[in-house]
Amino acid sequence: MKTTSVGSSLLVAFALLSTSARAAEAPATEPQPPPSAAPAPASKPAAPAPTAASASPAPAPVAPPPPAPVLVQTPQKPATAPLALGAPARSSETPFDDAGVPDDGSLGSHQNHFWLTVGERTTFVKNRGFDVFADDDALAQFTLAFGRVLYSDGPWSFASSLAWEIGGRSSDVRGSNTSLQVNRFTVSPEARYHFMRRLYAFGRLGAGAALLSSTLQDPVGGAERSRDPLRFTVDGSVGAAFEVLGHRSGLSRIARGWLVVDGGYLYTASTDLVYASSGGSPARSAPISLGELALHGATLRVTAAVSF
Amino acid sequence: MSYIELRSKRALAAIIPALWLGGCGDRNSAWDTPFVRGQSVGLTGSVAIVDANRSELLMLTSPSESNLSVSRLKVGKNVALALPSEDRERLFVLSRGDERRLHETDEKPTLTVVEGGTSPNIFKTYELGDPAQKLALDPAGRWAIVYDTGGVVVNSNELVLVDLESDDPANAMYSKTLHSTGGQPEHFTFTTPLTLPSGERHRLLVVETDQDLSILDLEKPGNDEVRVSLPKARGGGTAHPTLVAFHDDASASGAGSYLAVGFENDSSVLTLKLGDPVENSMRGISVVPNLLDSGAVPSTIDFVETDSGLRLAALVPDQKAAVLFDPATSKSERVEFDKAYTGIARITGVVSDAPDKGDVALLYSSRDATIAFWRLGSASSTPYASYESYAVDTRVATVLDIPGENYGNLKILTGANSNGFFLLDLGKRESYPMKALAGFSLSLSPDGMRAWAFAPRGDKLAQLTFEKYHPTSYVVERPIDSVFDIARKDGGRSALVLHAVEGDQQDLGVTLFDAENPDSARTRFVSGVILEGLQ
Repeated sequence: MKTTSVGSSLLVAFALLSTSARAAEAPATEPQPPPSAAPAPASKPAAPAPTAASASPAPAPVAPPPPAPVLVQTPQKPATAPLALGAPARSSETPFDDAGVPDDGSLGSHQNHFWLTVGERTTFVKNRGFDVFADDDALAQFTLAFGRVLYSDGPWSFASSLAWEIGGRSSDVRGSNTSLQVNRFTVSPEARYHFMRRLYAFGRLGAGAALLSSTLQDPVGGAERSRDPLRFTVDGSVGAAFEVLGHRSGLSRIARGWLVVDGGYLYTASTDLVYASSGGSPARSAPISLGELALHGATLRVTAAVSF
Repeated sequence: MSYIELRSKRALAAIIPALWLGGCGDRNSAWDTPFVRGQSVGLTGSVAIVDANRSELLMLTSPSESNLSVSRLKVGKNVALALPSEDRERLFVLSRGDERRLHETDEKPTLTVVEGGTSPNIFKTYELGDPAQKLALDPAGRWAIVYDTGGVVVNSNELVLVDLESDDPANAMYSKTLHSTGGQPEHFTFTTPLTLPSGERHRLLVVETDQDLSILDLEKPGNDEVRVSLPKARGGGTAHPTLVAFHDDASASGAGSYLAVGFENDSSVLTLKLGDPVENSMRGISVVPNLLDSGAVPSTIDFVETDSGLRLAALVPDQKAAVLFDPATSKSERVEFDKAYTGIARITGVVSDAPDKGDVALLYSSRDATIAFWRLGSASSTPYASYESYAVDTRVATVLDIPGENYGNLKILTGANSNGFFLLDLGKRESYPMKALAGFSLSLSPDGMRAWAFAPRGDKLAQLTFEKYHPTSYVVERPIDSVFDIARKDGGRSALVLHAVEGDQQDLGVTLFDAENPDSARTRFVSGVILEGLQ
């Protein structure tokens, strides 16, 4: 499908851009090596790790100082130190999480990551034009998005994503079959606030274009009429993401699984449902007008995301 | 897992279904109502199509050339009948209302009157007491008769007379039960004003039942009707009336005004001379009956003026003759014909070289392929030489008058089972046979300027203009259901060729022609008609 390939291309392009940006930022977020079992040579306290202000507009979390040399045979249980959101651990030694991953208590990859999300969005469209295609007000769409966190500061972070949503409805009007397929392509900046490492709230604003492909069967004319207008679309939502899979440690680079729910309002510029005859028979067919389609209404999105 | 994490998941699980349920709503039920087509009726400036499941009329109009407009008029539920007035200016829609009326808001039976011009609208709505099945309309447009009500117990002789000229719909209806000996109304005849000996002129409604005849005085509808007992038929049982004719003695010459009744199962002809009401009577008129015998069952009767005065003509095709009765004396004269003529139409005003005295009638036959011009001015003196017969291509079933005043000299004669018709120019006494497709239908334009012929379910139609008798054929791209010629808002006229999809999924389409200057290359096809007006 043409629309799918366009969406895929956009996603690939965004991923490439994001990867190079991430590479530049890498030194600031690179986790420190785990503590060695062998005693390290006594030395003066290490200097703070260099920040990467030039690579990232915001100060990256300061890397914790090297652990003091201790003689241990097995990794220690992580200390039950209070969580320092976004702040470096103050202790002189790095604890470990349940999985044995060093845990400095920072948000780390809980906060700064790429993510890929799939899920479902339902928009409740009260518009009468939508009645032509559905016997209720729900427009369900599969949603696919790819994004990354661009900036973080303490519990706050800012991210952006590219999203493609596809879905539609089909019905009939007095026996004439109808269908509507909506492809939305949006760029969605968002602001996040981490309440804890596994839970954050966010506000998101998406803007882009929607391809509204619809058909109407014409029993008398003996053909199917269709139209594919492209319309501006925007949506705003607030929601929360809960990490359901992943190491506790922010130092872990293992992928994390998230359940994300957001709700808000979606607006798509209206379009007239005027179906011209595409074929030549019958000659000089008048268009069929079924009013105006305005896809806007409350929207709810439930997705599963993988961050890495 | 922390307590906060668990609680968050439960909250989400509760919120999502709640939002789902709260956001869903049903759509307009109009989209889910299948289209079931009722009657399609052509009016002067619009075409009305009954959208039965929605209790609406789809009103098709043409504002300009190649332009179709569709509006909807709400009528009562369960449309039983839609009948146009004779001039096609109005449409009368009889609705039964809600089948089970259990609440005050449930609909009662109604009669809706629709103005059928280029801007159709509902003229009046009359609420009826009981659901009725049948409707009879006054050609003069004053009265509508609603009858044959349904129900657990039905009074077959109950009529509701609706005075369409009354400004108050609530007081415009008269319910009347005919005195009966067991019969029930079958046919209604509205007379023109008939002059009584006193000089009063009364319009009458003649109600034929299968056993008797009732005469209502429409000037005083509250008065008792005059009931006329009918003779016994020769084969036994009561004579069954099927023919009614009337004559007005407008000049008060003394000949009197008459009604005449013919029967389908008896050779008798009953004349009723109208008189003034008898003293202390609740009836507005009186009648003097007289029974005549035409020798065989007449196919038609009519009052005519002959060289001997007013006569009641009865065509008796079994005897290839006509009997002329003098209603005053009951004397009869017999005119023998060469063929068995079954129908008569007076054409005195439009025929060329009409005699100074007496009518001229067109005789036609559904049994023989012939027509004749009958000069009644010489019917008494030289009956054998009073008619001229012409062989035609077909046996004639019906004679159609051309509406309007432009071509009153023309008649269209259609055959019972033929593949053609012919145009009869009474002025020139010429006939023009027109071959047509088998099973063709003919649709006359209300302005009387042209006719459209087409074969139902075919894709061809023809326009016949009365100015030059010139038929021109056209092709459309979908099967034809019917053709209507209507006035446009811009002063022109459009021909609406209706295409219907039948079966489980009914639909309608229209091909628009400019009726005055049709051209297949300048048509407009419109589909989705049944969806118009539902957004």
